[in-house]
Amino acid sequence: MAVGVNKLSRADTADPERIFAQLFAAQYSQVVAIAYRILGDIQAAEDVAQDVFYAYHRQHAPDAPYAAAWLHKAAAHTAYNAAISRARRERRDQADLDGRRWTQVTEAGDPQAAVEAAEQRRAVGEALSRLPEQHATVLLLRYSGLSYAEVAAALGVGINQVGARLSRAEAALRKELTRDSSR
Amino acid sequence: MTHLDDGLLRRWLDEASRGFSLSQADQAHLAQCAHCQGRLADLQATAAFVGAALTAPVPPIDTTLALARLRQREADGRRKTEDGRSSVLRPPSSVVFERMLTVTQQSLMRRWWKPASVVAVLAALMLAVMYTPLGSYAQGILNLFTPKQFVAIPVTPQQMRTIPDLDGYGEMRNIQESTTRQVASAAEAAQAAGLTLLQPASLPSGLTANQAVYTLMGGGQAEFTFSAARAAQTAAQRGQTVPPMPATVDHSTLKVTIPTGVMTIYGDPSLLNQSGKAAPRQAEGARQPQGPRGPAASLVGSSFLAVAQMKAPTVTSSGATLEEIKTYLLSQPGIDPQLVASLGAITDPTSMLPIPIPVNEYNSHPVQVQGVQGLFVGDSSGLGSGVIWQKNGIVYAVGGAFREDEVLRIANSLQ
Repeated sequence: MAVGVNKLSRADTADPERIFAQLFAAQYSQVVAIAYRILGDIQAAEDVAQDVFYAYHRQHAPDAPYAAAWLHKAAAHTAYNAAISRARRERRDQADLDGRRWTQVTEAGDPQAAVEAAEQRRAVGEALSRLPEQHATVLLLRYSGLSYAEVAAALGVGINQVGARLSRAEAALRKELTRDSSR
Repeated sequence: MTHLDDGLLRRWLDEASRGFSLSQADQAHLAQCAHCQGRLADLQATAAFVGAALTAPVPPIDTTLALARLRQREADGRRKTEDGRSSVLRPPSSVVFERMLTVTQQSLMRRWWKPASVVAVLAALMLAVMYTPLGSYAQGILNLFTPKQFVAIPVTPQQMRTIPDLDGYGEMRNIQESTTRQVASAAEAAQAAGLTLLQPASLPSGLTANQAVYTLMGGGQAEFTFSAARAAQTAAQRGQTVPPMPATVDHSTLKVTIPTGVMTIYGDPSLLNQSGKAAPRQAEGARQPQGPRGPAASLVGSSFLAVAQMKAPTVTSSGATLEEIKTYLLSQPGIDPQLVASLGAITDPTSMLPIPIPVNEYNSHPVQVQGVQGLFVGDSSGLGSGVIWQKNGIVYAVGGAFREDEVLRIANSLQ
């Protein structure tokens, strides 16, 4: 139930659907990039992006000043949860497949290299999903190309907090990845 | 000796090439401190390691097709995840987005003891320190009963998130929606708001009164009725044990009225780019930005002033007193204990307006302005500030990219 929704009612207000389309055009690939950073799978990343924009469109004004920050944060959160669910499913499925990992390869080019690359993305994504959400989030945001200012906006913190969070998260991921390779 | 903070070093690693620099003192320290140099090297090595791991390029995507896919989904009215289950996308755990400047009154009303959104006042104070991305000071929400005094409550975002959502305690009803509407002149704004519109006697250089943009905000009314049944249901869903709602609170209705207020903006608000920073004035001799996403320091020399005024919003209660409601809601589980103590210390909730000040990013203190006691709020890097006060039943706020003495001068010059 909407209470007291602020409506812009100037005579020359642009059509909200057009404004939303502009927002989509401006932010879609960034949102996909955030999700891809942990999921490593372009179809899964686009699915997350679709969910995020769908939810935003339902609940928020397309020209809200916080739109980009909301989308970025939602992308990280949704992709993180998706990565955890996927990791759980894979652990379950693995039990039936005598421990072999099946990697879906959809890219063109050298199949061997493609399999290795996909496997590496999967391993990194799984390491990210084992981190606490706060760490994973700052890594996804920063390493998808957002500036410190944009990361700060998405996290809802001052720009001075970003460096500290990032350095802690990087240390945690490094630990997680080096622990992996020493198994 | 205090060493340099990891966060500072880490940011410097990334942003030195974009104009972020260490202070003279910090540079001097780094030059002769082996510990800090070692930390810097560690941070750099870890960042390089992680950068190499998180480097996979994103395959090309077709955005036009993606939009069509979304439209199709909306048209179909279905919500599905890839394995076909109905998905309810939960909003991000950070609630800051709900507290944004243009957020609906409903969102603000959910924060139990902030039942009204004083949109115009809020807007001014928000804009006052608004050159870092909006999310970081969405915490600066103002809530009014009928304020006579302002009390600063230092909070962290974590504490703010522990405040329960009113939605779980009863039912909200919109009576009249607030609107935001630009008008052509001060006279029109004054008439629509029923106020004598005050303007600064002296404007900072570069701003002129005939450039001013007048926006009406507010004019809404809503009601919230407490329901013990709903509270019990919410508690059961969350698996919580909660104190029962007092009989006086149950079925009490809070009615919130937000008068129409006026926000006057000097300087060009369209210069606020997507990240909420004002563009610098031209030909000022001030430092130029480092590109479209220049650091906050590039705002030195930017010129933007917001003045908001509104008749104080009112909240009335049909049953329980505001004190009883406050006591009940503060007894709910999960609220940060320090916050409970600060809020509990407000002896007269009908006339004292608590303003949450995010501890790390802002500082605030009482100030004398226009002959009354008001509250000054400043960004911790000193680049923007605002002041808010109430006089004769009208709430005023003034803010912009100014130092404290400048913003007070402007505020005191309102007439």
